[in-house]
Amino acid sequence: MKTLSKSTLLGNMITMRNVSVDYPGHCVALSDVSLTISRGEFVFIVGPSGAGKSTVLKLLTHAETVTTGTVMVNGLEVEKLKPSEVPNLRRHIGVVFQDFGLLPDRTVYENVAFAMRVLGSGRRAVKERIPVVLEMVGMAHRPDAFPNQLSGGEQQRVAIARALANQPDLLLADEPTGNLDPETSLGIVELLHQINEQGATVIVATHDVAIVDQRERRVLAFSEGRLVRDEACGRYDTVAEVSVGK
Amino acid sequence: MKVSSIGFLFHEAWLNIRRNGWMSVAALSTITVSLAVLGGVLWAGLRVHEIVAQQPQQFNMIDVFMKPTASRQISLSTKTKIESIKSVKSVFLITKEQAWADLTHRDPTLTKALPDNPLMDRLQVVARNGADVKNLAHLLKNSQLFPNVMQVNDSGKEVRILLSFATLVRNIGIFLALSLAVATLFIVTNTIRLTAYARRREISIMSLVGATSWFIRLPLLVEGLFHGVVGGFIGSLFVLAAASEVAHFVAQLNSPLLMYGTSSIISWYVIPGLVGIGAIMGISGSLLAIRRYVHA
Ligand SMILES: Nc1ncnc2c1ncn2[C@@H]1O[C@H](COP(=O)(O)OP(=O)(O)OP(=O)(O)O)[C@@H](O)[C@H]1O
Ligand SMILES: [Mg+2]
Repeated sequence: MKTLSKSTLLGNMITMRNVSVDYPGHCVALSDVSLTISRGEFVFIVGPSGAGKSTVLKLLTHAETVTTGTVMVNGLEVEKLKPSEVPNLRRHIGVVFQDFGLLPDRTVYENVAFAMRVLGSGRRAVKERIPVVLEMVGMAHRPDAFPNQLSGGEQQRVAIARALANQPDLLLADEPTGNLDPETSLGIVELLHQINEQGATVIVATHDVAIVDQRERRVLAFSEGRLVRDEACGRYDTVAEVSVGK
Repeated sequence: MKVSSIGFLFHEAWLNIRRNGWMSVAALSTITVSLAVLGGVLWAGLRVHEIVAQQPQQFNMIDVFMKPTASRQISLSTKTKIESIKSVKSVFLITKEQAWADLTHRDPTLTKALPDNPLMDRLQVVARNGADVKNLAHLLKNSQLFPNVMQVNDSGKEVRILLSFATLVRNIGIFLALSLAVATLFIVTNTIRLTAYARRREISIMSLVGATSWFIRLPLLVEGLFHGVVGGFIGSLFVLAAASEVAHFVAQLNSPLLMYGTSSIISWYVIPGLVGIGAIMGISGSLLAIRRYVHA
């Protein structure tokens, strides 16, 4: 197996080679996973609970480390980063979770501003950027609301605005619609789609059949830690067939 | 680091302090008291040390108290007899009337309460040489040579008492100062531990979006610094107030030990002193808490 050329690596946002992750306690979360995701792609990661979807995303931000194999993100070899270099990796990645993760005692504006200020952005830069991202996610009318004054869908929009605030190249969403009703979910996925069209690479881990089937984008299906399907315009339910067929 | 970031860090630290509420107030009060006592102990130690250092000028003095029964005539003849000793430079007679007048001036309530003058004549003997004092005192205590002398106080004795007092103050001071320093450190560490817990969401978001570990830690360091500096400042005001009370009281005592030389301690130095100690405690306490409780 020859190493990929430099230009190919730069063209790829993500390259995983023979990645395995063993959690302590003999749990194999991922085994021998290899995949590439190009810049500007929109990808669904699907699979039953415990398949290893979250683990894949965690590897990309160095929240989890490989047991064997290599992970390249945005031209950086993740597992070779020193602790002091990890922030630099994360600055180019926006992350969205199922539980939104907003700071409860800060307003919408302050929540988004926080993510910018901690990276050293000045007050003026924050003031210019926040209306833009809030407009993008459709929350420009509620900058002074606190999270508990918002619906789940609205909170997730704010969380996405926060992830976008520092203009990431890569947006990771782990079950972004897990706590939302079907209609609101479609709205969130539409938003992620728009973000992708503006240039960011977007990866969504989900077991929400409806959103995957509606979009028909690239699907990476995992089962018991293995990548079992990689389809360019995939649907969710074929996962079941593959799993059953195995 | 940019100026605007410094503003942000201080703002975040202030948020933490406010969020901790009464816990912050309790921590600040305890730190204030600890630093005030620490400052007081250090000051007292320095002052006693200073007084001791000033004493050698008085080593050559001996107080000789005559028996109450001794007449003025006997006092005067004893004075002449002592003056004839070779190692004696001079002898002053302080009569019991003078001593009484002095006491009346200093403590009128006491003298009013007494039926009549219980004091005795005193001869203040000045030796030519400090080294002779011990032998001279020994000679004056000889009841065959000086049958009318009741008591001999050489200044060596007072200085010896002062010295052992100074040692006591120093030992207690070192013990107290160390315990209080440890207590202060513990309080700061515990406060920052609570903050790190209250701030766990912020810390995880900071880490997630790629803030450097120093940026994550600085608000906690600033909070520890705040407690140390503010505690040190308020504490130093307490020390200054206490010191002026003590100075007032000590002046009233009119102790001969304090007659020579004034203090070279500049009292307001206690402010930067305690603020500095507080700052070091605050930062060390925060660092300890961060090392144990913040993993980012
Ligand atoms: N910190 C951990 N320690 C031990 N085992 C873990 C840890 N995190 C995950 N696992 C295990 O690793 C496997 C993969 O977990 P992962 O979270 O990636 O699954 P997932 O596909 O995201 O599941 P879900 O759809 O439920 O979120 C699971 O069996 C899980 O129990
Ligand atoms: Mg998961």
